Amino acid sequence: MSAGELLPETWPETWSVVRDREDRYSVWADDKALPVGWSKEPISGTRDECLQRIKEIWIDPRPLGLRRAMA
Amino acid sequence: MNKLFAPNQTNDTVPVDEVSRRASDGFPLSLAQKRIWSLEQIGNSTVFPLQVLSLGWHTSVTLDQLQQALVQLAKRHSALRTRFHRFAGGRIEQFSDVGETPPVETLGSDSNPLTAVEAAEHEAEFISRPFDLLSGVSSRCQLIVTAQGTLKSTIVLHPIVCDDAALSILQRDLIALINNEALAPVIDDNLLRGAREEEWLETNDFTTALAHWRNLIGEEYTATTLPTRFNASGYAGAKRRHLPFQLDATLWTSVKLYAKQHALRPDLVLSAAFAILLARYSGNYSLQHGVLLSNRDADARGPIVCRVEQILPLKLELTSRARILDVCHAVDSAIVTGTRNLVPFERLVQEIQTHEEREQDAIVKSLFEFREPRIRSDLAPGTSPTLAPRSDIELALLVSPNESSGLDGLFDYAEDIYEPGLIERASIHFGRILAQAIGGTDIRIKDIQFIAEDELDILSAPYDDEGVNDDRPVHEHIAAHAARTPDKTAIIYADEVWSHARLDQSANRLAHRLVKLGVGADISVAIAVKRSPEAIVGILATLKAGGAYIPVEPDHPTTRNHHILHDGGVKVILTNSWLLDRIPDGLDATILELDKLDLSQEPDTAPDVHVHKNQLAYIMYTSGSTGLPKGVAVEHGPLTHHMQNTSRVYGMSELSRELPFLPFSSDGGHERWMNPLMEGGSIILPDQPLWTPEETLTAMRKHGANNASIPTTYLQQLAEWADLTDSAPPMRLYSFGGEGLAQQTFDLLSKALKSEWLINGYGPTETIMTPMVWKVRAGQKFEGTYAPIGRAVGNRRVYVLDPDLNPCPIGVTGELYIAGEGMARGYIGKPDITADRFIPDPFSKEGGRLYRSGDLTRWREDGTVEFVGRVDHQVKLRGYRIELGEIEAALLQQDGVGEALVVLRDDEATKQKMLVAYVVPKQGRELEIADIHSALERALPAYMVPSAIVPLTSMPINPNSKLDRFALPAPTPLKRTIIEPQNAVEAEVLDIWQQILNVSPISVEDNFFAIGGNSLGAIRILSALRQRKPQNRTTIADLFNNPTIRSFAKVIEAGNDQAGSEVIVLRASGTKPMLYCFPGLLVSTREYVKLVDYLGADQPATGFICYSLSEQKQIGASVDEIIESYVDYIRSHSKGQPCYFLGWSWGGLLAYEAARRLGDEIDLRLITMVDVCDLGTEFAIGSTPRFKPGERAQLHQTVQEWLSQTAMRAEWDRLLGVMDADTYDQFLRFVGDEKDELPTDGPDISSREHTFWILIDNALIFRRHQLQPHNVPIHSWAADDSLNRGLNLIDWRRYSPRANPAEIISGTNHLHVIGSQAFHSRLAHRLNEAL
Repeated sequence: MSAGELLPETWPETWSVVRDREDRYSVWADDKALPVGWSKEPISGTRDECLQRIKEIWIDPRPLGLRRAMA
Repeated sequence: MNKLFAPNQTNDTVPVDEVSRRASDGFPLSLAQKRIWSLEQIGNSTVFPLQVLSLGWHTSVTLDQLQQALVQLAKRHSALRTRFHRFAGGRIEQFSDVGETPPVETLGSDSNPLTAVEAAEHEAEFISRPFDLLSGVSSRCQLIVTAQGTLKSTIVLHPIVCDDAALSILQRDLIALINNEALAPVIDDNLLRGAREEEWLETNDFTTALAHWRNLIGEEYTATTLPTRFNASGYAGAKRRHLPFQLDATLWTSVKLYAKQHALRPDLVLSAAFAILLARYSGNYSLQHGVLLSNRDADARGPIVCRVEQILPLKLELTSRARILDVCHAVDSAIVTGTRNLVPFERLVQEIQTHEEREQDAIVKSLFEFREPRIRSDLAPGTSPTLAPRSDIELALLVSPNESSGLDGLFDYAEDIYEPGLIERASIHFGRILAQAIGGTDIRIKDIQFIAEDELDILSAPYDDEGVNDDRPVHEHIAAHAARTPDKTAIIYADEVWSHARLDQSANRLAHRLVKLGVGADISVAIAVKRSPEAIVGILATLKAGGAYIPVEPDHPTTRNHHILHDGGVKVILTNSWLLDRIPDGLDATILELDKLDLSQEPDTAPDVHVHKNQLAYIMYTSGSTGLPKGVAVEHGPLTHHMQNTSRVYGMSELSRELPFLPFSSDGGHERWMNPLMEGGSIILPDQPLWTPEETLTAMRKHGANNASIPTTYLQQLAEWADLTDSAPPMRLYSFGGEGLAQQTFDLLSKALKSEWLINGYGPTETIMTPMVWKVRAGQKFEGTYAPIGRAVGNRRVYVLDPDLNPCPIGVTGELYIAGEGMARGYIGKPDITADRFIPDPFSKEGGRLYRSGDLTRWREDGTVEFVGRVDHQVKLRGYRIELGEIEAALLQQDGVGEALVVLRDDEATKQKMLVAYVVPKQGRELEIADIHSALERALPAYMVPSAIVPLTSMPINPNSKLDRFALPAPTPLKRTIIEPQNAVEAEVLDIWQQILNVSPISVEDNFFAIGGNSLGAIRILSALRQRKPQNRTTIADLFNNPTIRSFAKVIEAGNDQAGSEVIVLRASGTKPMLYCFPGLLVSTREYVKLVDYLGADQPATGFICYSLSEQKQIGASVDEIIESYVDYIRSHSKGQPCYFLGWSWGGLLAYEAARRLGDEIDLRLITMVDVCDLGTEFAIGSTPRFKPGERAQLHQTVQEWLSQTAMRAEWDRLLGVMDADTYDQFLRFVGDEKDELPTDGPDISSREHTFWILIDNALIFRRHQLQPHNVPIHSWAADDSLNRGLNLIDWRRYSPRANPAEIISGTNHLHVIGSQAFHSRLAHRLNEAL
């Protein structure tokens, strides 16, 4: 088998940018149930488009807890 | 509809009376029947087992009724009374007589019934009795009166006349006959099927249908099946295993309802579920498998008992997003299209598998068969038979509705190929697919869950660890020991010994300085010194100051280090004064030269810095396969928890003294010094990047090490040295990792290192150091290319997932994902790549992330994980999916190979893809590339053996310290030294070789076969030589035995020694009994070379020159005359000695006759027969050819015209001259049956005409030969293709009581079986048995 070979074809059309409670970002396929602890941002598109947007919006890599502690 | 199975009613129907009138005539067999006949001939009854209809009757049915009904049944169905006749030469025909009945044996009576046990015994014996098709009819019946007053009837039919659906017909008709119901008349044209098939295969319809399959399947295909056992390509026998299972009535009812709602046949839903099972298990959604076609639906002539079922290949292009309903429709339409283009499967296989040069995979490896339920009225309940198995395919799933309204399922599979545990789970998953598939219209393949939550919980679970972690960061754990045991040794480094207190105080002083320089939370400090106590002080000081350290190896390429220093945003660089020139200009960072730094004014107590759990501890740079290294940022909380968990799994304590050999540029290197120090133990830090094995072992012994952590490749060298010198100190634990570890290497470590525990560690930097370990006692065995990478450590879980993030079943390859607390924050400055690799964890109840590793893995039976390869390291070549790592592992197992790499690249000459291996020898070793190549041929399936192996002195490395794939050289033909001829004879031979082989330049020491020579080339060389030197008498054997120009020239000069001129020495030395190889019709003995190679250095072998190439060839020789010289040679060399014979094709007949002639003069342990068939039936004595009116005269005319044109007229005249009138008629018939024109391209040895001439000559030799019984041990093999062609294979059991039934070698044919690896392994096995 080849996971790599299958990935692009099987990835669905639409993905969303998602964020967890510590303000970490990732992407998630729209046709799959959203995992616990994550919420959708109002940004969707292809997987690549979503990743490009994350590059722009995820400015502070520190988790929320640390950010608060350092503030 | 296909004409073959539903002939046109108007012009093709044969009235009943005509069938019966012609019934005493013989009818040809269909292709399927011919195959079964061939299998029967070679004694194989497992592929097609006997067909059994065993019924228990209600008490109302009487014995008399049953007996009457059986007579009527036999009248109605000719299959019950078919006879077979073998004509002279081996042609088989079938016929039947209306008046005949099968034998019926009746046991017990009302007054004297049989007990249940007796009845079962008798029935079992009755069922297992073999048939003799040449002397009896094709079925037999047994009636038993049992104690309960009920009757049992058993009808056994030979599979050549019956299939499973036919049994249903028999059952239905028998019940009707017992009830005196009128049966609709049936037109039993059973016996005409073979002839119709023959005719149909000549039509355009056939050509069109065949084109459909050629187009659909093509030459490069992958037959889909479930994952096979590790190393299944080696010895795969015919042993079958069965797994029965049931699906309950509720499920079957729901499936039927779902089918009805969507206007589908219920069996299509089952068939779709099987397709889904294959797709999910293989990970390949382009399916090529099979369904069994009963071929009964459209039979207009009524239900006839005969064999018409056949395997229909299906090709489905699915994706995991396909809806189940779409899969059902895809299966349906593939069956409809396939049925419309139906070609007998035996013929299809022949037409598709046309590659001459390589073994080909079966077209269908896995099969689904749905069996209709049978009528059950009048039968006693509880007597329904279990599903009869089917063994004509690697793996079959049979499903049939059962008595309790549910489904009976049966997996019938080849035991050597599939793991029973995997099949059992597949049967459970088949049920789960069905149950979920029917849950709605929009269910997709990817929605189906194979693994239940509780199962996943167990599979993903980390090592048991009852301990509780505290939240103090790593440096505080280490510092605590300075307070408790200040004087205890912490670090041994060359002559230096550092106590815990000295380490802590030094770190504290530097930490104060760092704090002053602004180091704090998420501020990074570069540690640009070599591995030393100083480096550890720098790291601990950074952590104490609240900063994050970045290790920078001063020796690494400058470009890489500069990138790290810029990218990591370092504020402070700790280095030495002599390394300053390696630090780039223009950095906004303070540089501290540790050797010049005065810290005496700084306090030696810890600075008061609080560390948050999410604060960064370190940034580790990793090189991807492309681009610049990325910084992986790791926080304190996950780090300290990981370290504490690891301590417990490794069993670390204050007594631990570890030798950490891993470099500081890898995170594993840091784990292994932190761990002992956190526990109050100590480390022996090597003062050089590399120590010799001797230095390492000496240091371990001198300082009393009990743990060592060493990269796998270096550990192998260490173990080799320890093994050689027996110098390993006793150790508690070795941990290693970084590479796949083969069993052989692991065995060496086990044996040589005298360690209590071994730990194979695995981990991407992104999941912190060593998130997975496999901890075992020395001596552990594992199946697989590499040692397992075990389970997760600490607060982590590991998952093997498919591309849809569904967990893979055990044994199924998927990508490894790691979840839980133990992972990095992400990549420095790369939010998009972080978001791409660290994704939401769908399995967590609390929320969390999942790291996608890019590594292919599978869960093993024991729940540990096995490494398979990189996602991007798998290639597809000629339809095969190849894991390059597997080839590399095989290379690394070869003696002297230190590093190996395999790539798929384009052959510059042919523009075709090919596998190229690169190997680097171990220190001080030389590699014999040819030896490595032949070792790989033994170890790997043919499609995985690299086309070229290129030796390198070292692997090319790019500035990122990673392999530079672009710098790998293209394989070039080996640079040969051309040695010029040194005398006139050599010059003359060289000239001839260059001319005939069309190769230049040739060195006088080049091997004839290595530069492209073959038997035909050899013959041409000899005849060219004879033209130039008419007095020369050298033979082809001389050339084979002296295959260089130099050695051959010597033979010419020495003059000819007649003795041995028929003999080729294949291998002269070895302690095992001599193996004498008898050649086939047209081939030379060189074809045995690969085989002899496989059998190894201890197996001597001698070959004889093929008779058609022999110098001594005469027209009209007898077999006795031909074997004369072989027998003499064997007698003079092996008299009284043990030896083996091997006969391939007609060589088998020669071997057998030689054995008979030699009798007790030699100690013949075994004759091995490879695909030995009777020569063409056309020339058998007593076989009278049939001609259409006028055909004979016309053929005679054709032959005469042809003779007047051919350049081989003289040879043909001699051959035709020895024929009598009958034989000449047979020759004409043969000519008439040939599809091609008579050839006129002779007399060249490679011409069709020459081949034709040899064939006829041989036929004349053998037509007069009669095989006589001889008691000698014989083991035989048959090529699958020969069975599909229904070749007339010889059943040696007819001649020797010590002959075994033949084994089948799949994927090969008569010509190539001798080179087939599957055959080699089985032959080796049998020779050893006979030793």
